[in-house]
Amino acid sequence: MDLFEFFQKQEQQLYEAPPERVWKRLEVRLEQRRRRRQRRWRIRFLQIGSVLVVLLLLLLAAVLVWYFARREGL
Amino acid sequence: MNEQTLLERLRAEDPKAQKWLYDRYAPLLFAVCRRYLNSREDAEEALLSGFYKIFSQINSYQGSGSFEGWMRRVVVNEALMLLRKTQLLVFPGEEVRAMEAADDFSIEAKLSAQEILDLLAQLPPGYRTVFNLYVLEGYKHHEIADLLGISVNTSKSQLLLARAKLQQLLKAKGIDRR
Repeated sequence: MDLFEFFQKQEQQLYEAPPERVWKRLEVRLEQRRRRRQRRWRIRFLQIGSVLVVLLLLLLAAVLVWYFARREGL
Repeated sequence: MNEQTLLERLRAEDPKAQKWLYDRYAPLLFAVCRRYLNSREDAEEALLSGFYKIFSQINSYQGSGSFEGWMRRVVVNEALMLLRKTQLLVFPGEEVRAMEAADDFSIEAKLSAQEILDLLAQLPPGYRTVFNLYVLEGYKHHEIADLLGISVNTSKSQLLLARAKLQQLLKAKGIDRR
């Protein structure tokens, strides 16, 4: 068997489960990422919500101004 | 679980699917890391960041080529990055002709995992990296050259040197057969 073939055939022997701590650390990092994304979504929701509330208030103010101006006959 | 379902669940960041994928592929990908990095701690670190990238960049897998191949490439890149950070990844241009590998070299022995890792660990990082990429990952010389920022000829000479060094080491262990 040629040297390269020899190493290719032996490769599967190297398969080995990593220690449990690797998954634990990965789990922590993934959880932190999930939390960061959730926080980002909450902030975006609040930003869009605030803009919508301001627009609604402006619209309401415009309607009120228009309504009272019409009532006063201005 | 079929691959399509698995990918959908991974894209939705389902923790159970992530754990399933990890349990299934960690032994293979840990072996990949151990071949590139001498220290076990470094291999664990590369595996961890590799899996983190797999999960966080799952949307960049477009379905062209096998999923396992894509994961392997991600982990190899992580191992190479760590290798560059922790060790001097140099590619010495030794006298290739003097160390030229014998073409009729043949081997039939069976080595333990530790013996294989020990052999690879005795190669200088440059030789080992090119050997791993070419022989075990199946990269072509021009791909290795792009990946490592070296010339195609350097990649070829590193492989030749790695081969010669491994033959020497195997002979020294008395497990070659010509």
